[in-house]
Amino acid sequence: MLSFFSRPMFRLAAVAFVVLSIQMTLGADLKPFGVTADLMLLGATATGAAGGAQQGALAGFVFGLMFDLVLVTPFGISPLVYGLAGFLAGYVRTLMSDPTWWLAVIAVAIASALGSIGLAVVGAFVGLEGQIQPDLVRTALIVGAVNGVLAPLAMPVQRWCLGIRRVIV
Amino acid sequence: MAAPFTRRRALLLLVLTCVLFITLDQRDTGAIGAARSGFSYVFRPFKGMARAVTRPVSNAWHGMTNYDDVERENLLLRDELARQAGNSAAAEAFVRAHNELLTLAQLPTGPNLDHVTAQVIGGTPRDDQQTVEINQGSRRGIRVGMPVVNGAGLIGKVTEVFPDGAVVRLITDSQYVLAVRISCRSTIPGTVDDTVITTPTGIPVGGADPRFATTTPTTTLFDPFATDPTSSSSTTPSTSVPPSTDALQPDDSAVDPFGSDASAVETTTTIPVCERETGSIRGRGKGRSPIVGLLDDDVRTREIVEGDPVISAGGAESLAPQDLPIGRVSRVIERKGTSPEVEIELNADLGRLNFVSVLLYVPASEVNP
Repeated sequence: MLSFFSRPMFRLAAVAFVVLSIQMTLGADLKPFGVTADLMLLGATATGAAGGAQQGALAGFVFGLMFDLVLVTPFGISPLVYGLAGFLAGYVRTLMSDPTWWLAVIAVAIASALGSIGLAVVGAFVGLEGQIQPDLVRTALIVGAVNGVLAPLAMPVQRWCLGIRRVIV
Repeated sequence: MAAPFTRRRALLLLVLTCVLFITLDQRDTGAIGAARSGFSYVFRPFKGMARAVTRPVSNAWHGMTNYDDVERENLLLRDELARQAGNSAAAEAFVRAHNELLTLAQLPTGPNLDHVTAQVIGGTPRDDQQTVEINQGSRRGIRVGMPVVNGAGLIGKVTEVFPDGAVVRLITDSQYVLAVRISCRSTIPGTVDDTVITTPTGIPVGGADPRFATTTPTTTLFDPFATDPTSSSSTTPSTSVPPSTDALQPDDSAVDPFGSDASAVETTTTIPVCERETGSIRGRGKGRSPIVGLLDDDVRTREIVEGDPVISAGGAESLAPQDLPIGRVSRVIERKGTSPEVEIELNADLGRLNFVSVLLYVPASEVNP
């Protein structure tokens, strides 16, 4: 029984659940520069930056799936985009021969910003109106910046979740 | 060589799974809805806990970031309050007089609906959807689809219900659609408004407006919570099609038509012929005004002007009763080859919702299918 609770997937789901609670309360309430922070996207990209592309994609899928269960937007958009964003963050990390913590932070920020744009694009693709707006880039930059600032906190948590050994110096 | 292949395969699996989910959701199989509903029930207590834990952080944040705004707003509100105090006396007398006239003429007023007052306890969790969460649910009779209003008018509809809470999709959400009518502008006599020119009762407001065929329009007030047409409870003023009495002459403007001279006024009432445009309002997402797509592209459309009130159209299939105030026309967008569209400035400030009312309204088609 104890071994089940110590499994990475359980820990990942538990952390996603906690982050979702924070996103739905604090995240929905605090709007830095008028933009809702996306902590679930942070969870996905931080995992990618900390553990690699596959881990990022997996975490993004789990975080996105859980988020979509409480949203009213079409189901499946968030796991798709978060999974790709997590994958991207991990992929960027693998391109760095000697990744430092701040490069990982930049990877999180870039992947989060692109993930934010990806949400709008995929939303528009499935027929949601009003997704691509003039301030989309500004929104994406703010989401990226907020997630970049929070990345140093999120990466150790995600590393613990999936049992990732720290390789970033 | 094995790593990129595995990575690619993982990516492909991710994309295909998500496309499958999106397809299932779009085809409305019910499985996704059931999963969402089940998860929401499990999640709600945890969310409540999280709200309690994070509230101090939230309060501290708002204290830091909004102090200047709150101070400025406080000054503006004091000014507004002083202005409203002057308006309310005139408006109250007008409401009373008008309701008496409506009762006399047996004209319908706003819907006398039961409602449940609720407080907004949660905001939009992500910017691509426009929803709020309220603290009343199915235990108080709230059901999916019911319209939600605040003092200023319609703000949205219930999309998800729990025993002690509900999710409200706001008018600005891109998936919100409702049948509406665009009525003619008129004003409440005796009130002070910086932007609207007011005209005393009895003077033909529509004299310069070709949509008014009669010469003595007045203004009606809509009270979504009214239980008694003759009550003088505080209301949110909005406009609907006004009745007019032929007996009132322009020079009667200084005389209260319902006062001592009321017996001298003929009770013949003329139904006004202010034409109304019908269409459907739909949200366009965060920061953008909702838009009304008009059903008819005819000459009347050109007569829609900025400031014309937009109200719900009602009907057997509609999720909202008729004559709920929604907003005012802010821009008319003419498009060649297609029906024109009208941009709406909402009455309600959806960014600052606190107390709202859920109208316990069920469409006639559901009551008598």
